[in-house]
Amino acid sequence: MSACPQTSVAPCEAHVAREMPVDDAGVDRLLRHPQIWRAGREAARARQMSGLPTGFQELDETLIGGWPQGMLTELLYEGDGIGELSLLMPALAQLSRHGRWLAWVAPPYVPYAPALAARGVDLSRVLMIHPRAETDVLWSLEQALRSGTCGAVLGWVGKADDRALRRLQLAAAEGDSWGVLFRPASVAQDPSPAALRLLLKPDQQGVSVNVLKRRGGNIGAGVQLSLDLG
Amino acid sequence: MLWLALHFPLLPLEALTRGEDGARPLALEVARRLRLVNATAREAGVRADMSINAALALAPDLRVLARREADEERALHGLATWALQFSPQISLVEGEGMLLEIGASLRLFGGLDALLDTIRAGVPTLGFSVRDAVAPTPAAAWMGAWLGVPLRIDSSDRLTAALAGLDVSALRLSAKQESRLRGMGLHRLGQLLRLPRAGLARRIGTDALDHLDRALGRKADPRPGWQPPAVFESTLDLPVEVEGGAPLRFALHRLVLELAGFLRGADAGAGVLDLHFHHRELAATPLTLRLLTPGRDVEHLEGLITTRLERTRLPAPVLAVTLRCDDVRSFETRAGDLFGLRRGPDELMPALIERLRARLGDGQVHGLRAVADHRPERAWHGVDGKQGGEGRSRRPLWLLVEARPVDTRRLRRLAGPERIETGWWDGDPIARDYFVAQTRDGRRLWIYQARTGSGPDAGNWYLHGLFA
Repeated sequence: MSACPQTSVAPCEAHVAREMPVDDAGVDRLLRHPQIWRAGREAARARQMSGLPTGFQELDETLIGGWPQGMLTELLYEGDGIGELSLLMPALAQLSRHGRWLAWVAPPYVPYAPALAARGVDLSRVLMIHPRAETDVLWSLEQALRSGTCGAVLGWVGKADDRALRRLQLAAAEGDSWGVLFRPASVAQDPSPAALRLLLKPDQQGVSVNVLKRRGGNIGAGVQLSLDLG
Repeated sequence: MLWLALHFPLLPLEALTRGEDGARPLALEVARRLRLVNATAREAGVRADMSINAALALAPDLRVLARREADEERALHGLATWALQFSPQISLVEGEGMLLEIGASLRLFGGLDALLDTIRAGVPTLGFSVRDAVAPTPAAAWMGAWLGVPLRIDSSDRLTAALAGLDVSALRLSAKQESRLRGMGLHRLGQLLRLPRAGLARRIGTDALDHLDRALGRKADPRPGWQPPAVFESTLDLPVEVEGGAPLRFALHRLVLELAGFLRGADAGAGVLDLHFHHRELAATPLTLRLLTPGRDVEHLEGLITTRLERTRLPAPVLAVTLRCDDVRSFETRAGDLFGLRRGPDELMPALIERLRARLGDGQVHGLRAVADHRPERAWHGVDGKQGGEGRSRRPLWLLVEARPVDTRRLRRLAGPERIETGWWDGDPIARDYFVAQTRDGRRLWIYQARTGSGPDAGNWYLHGLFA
């Protein structure tokens, strides 16, 4: 909203760690080799088949099962406060109640603890990570994803190149964690290794969700969700 | 009883060079002659007993050091501290080595061979050469280690036979006595043992005879037990002043290894690590690491220290490093650690948090807790550990740390007002009317109007949260 400059809250802009010395093409080819078994991969795949229920029936249908675990999900949108967290709340609440940790990396605001608790999130499972330097954002995400302790890792990443995202995707598979990146809609045209990319737009009752990319198909599907905004 | 003797043949030299990796030729001199040389110097042809000048002609980069007995003692205590992980019963042999009673710990370490493998691999990583021997009496074990004969005597029955083959120098006689024995063709202990006892006493003296009796288990040989320190502290001198990088990491590695041995011996983990980096002129740079759960994993501790060090500015080159740990906490070894099983998230979480904190700073990584306070900005809190709280009201998921002025002209009201008025009891009263409002592009804001009479900002509108 251009009329109120004071309220135009820009999403946290994070730059990408520069050089990641990985020959991605080579690694990718290697990892796709049928003879190579990767720890965590089978588990992740099995889970993806069932998916992590989103808590919204229409969305579960659109995503054919739910949020993909052990992989990256990107949420693309403009302007904070359109329901981008509410969309995740049922799944996050469920993970936390099963004792899995939720890591928040570089959130642009303070997650309001009473509101999280009211939506069923076990606050004792929330870990807040506030890197001071932009280069530390991706490092922190990778650490949390890879650690195997976090059910979900949420990250507010502005700019991140394909290689950085690929690294995160590998870390998510290794740690069998659900990585969620919140990014501006302007990156929709950039290549991304994320298993799932959703474009979010505000809606009268809640939020509209469009599938930009989904491993396993159903691209282009859309769904309108009414959100309980508290 | 089964005794393991560890003799550190190069202790006087290696005590001075713990901070380096041994790639450089080194020698220890006494009265202008070399007494000990390290392996690199020996490869260059340098021998003990050479004059310094002759040695320098062979190895121009040879570093010749003078003996420092205080450092030797410090090094030996450091080694004993590390060795506590193998046995609580340790006795020092001043300036030369130590004796460990290992009869009780053999099973724990999977047998004698496994234990010796661990020690033989471990001592060099601390920067020392070692010779070992095992026997039922401490004196016999020490004779073997000191001579460089790796005795493996596990029963008293075989003691006499095994010692018979040792050279008479094991008795540490005077040069005169020893050459007299050799003059008579007596080179082995076995030959001495066949002599009539009275005659033997005359030849080698009663002290040496007692020594032999103790080695054979014929005479009691109580050894004073070494008292381990309650607090770990070790200082490592660096070979040259360093700015950081590999030489410093190398020194830290040795210190952490030593600490890990101490902690394993105490069956404990470190709660807090205090490091000091000493400089030539400036005050030492301190570095403190707090652990969420007691730890002693070398790789993890080392990772935390180096990560934190990378983010610490050292104002001058470093001459020496001190590692101190006086916060030693009981450490529960779980079955998962013993058998290498995959551990659950709760056990791995502290390690993740410590890693993040080491790089990002302690304050940048925390938990979240709801606090019973009506003022929204007081109802959240960063918490250090893992504490829970109950939510009482439904609120926006995003909160601005500080409310910002907002222009309400183009906002559409969705809900409100909700009056929030509290806080007079601690001198920070608020009186606000909260609304949910929507921007034209669909974002839902949590805004409030400061109420008339409640302060200088009365009537102003503020953005306080986002319904994300």
